[in-house]
This record gives sequence, C-alpha cells and structure tokens, in this order.
Amino acid sequence: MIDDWLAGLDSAMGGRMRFKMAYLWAVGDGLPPKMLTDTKERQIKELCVNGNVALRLLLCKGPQSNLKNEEFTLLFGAAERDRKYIPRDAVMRAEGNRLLVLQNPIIYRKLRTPDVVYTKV
Amino acid sequence: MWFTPKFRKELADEEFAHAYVDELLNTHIATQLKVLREQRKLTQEELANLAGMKQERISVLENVNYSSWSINTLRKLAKALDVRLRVSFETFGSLVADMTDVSRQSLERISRKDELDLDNKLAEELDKKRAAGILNMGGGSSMPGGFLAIPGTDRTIESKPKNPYKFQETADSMVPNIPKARTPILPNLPGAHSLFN
Repeated sequence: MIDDWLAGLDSAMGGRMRFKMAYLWAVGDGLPPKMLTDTKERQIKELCVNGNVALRLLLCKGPQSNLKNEEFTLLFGAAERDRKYIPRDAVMRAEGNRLLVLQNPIIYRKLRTPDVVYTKV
Repeated sequence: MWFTPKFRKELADEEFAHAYVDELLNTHIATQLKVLREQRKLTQEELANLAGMKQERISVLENVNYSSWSINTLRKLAKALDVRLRVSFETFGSLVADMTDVSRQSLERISRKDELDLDNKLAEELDKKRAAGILNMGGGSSMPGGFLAIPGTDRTIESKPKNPYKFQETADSMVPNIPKARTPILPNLPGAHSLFN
C-alpha cells in the first residue's frame, strides 16, 4: 500500500519523501528536530514533506510494545491542504492499519531496506 | 558500502536526485544547529541573543522541514556558535558518506575558543615533557612533514604532507614564528580538529 502511494508521487516529491524515510531509518526520531509530529491519535505520528504538495506519511513506533524503540511501521500515505488531511479520514485509516499490524505483523507488514547498504569490500 | 541498485536507478532521475539532496541539506543544517546549541548548553533564547535573532526564529530554523536558508543567517549562527561556516558543492557520490555517519558526535564541533584553549593546554604539556627530556619531537615543526605527537604517550608518528608538491620544500620556512613545541594535536574528541591542521 505504501509502495503504491510512493510510486504515485512525482519525482521531486518522491525524492524528498525517500530522503526523509532513509534518514528516519538511519537516525531515528530523537536527533533530527521535529522529524515526526503528533496527530490527534496518540500512537500515530506524521513524517512531513513540503513541496508543491504537503505530504504526510502516517506511521507509528513499533507497534508491538517490545519494539517501540526499535521499529517504525509506515501506515498510511496522505496529503494535507488547509490543515486538513486528504483523505480526511487519513489518521483513522492509519490507526486501522496499526491495529491490523498489531494483530498479525507477519501478514500485514514487510521489511524495508535502506537506500545505502554496507557491503564487504 | 554503496547505494542499492534500486536507489541508483532512482538517482538517475534528475528531479528525484536533486529533491533528495535538497531535503538532506535542510535536515542536516537543522539537526546540526540543534546539536551545536545543545553541545554549548545554550537555550534557544540564549542562542537567539548571541545571533541577534528572536527565539521563535531559532525554533523555526531548528526544524527539519525548514527550507529557506540564507547564507547570511548561517553566517550569523556560525559566529554565535563560534565555528566557521563551510559551504561547498559536492558530488552525488559523497552522498553515501553523508548518509552513513549521521550520529550526534559526527555533527558536534568545538568552538574556536575551546579549540585554542585545548591547543594551548596540550602545547604546554608537550613543553613540559620536552623540558623533562621525555618527548623526542623529531623534526619538531608542526607543519606537514614534521612529527605529530600522540597525546598520553611518548610516541611520535611521522605526519605526511597532504600536498607534498606544495609543501615539501618549504614546510619549516612557512611558519617561522611558531615555536617548536606548538605541535598540532588531534585529540580523540568528537568534531575536534586542531586549528593547525
């Protein structure tokens, strides 16, 4: 689902979003200031990318409680206009996906690889 | 380390590639600004006072989503943080390194004043050791081609000139006023570089 959303972005917005995702993967959300911002659902955070459209990638930590400091799960891709999500129920849909992942992380989640990988020389 | 094949393909798209590095730049500056402020134990308000800005402005600049940087603003912040500002055009290949080492330590820089204090302290220590006959400084000069002392040990290693064609012949004559004890030390501190290196 997230892959489809990313594939639908134009090149420039795709590049911006891919960087933010890579940086979050590499650094986490502790160091970069305001990397993730809160939404009305406590567990759902948003990764913001601004450009010709304002993209909001909704995600959560974990969600399994033992992995909350180790993993992020990308839940739903949305846009924002006039401080409103497009689609309007984006946060609810992200929360629905979070609950699905919690029920069965193996079925509802796939691991992502970073853009830069280590290889033995 | 290298880019994944998929990512390399994506970088072939000019729009994608430039947007990607644009976002890297914004994120890097905002993050380093916060790291440097915290390294100096300054509040946003204190940094704002030093830079002649308002606290709200620092808060905006310390946001990875900010993108309207100006060299003048960065110059003011560099002066307030007592570091030098370096603006440089880079190849896309260097992106690998930029994306690999993104720790807090890699972003920290000591201030010019702390760097000078540290340098003087270490020079004094070396003077004492030399006076006591403990330390053999070899060529003695702090310039390329001389010797670099290793702090906490009596060992010295040969320091090779970075550009032998320029400095090989003239290393000692280029710095006639630097006493022999002013040996550059590169302490094992994050972001610490001797002023003489």
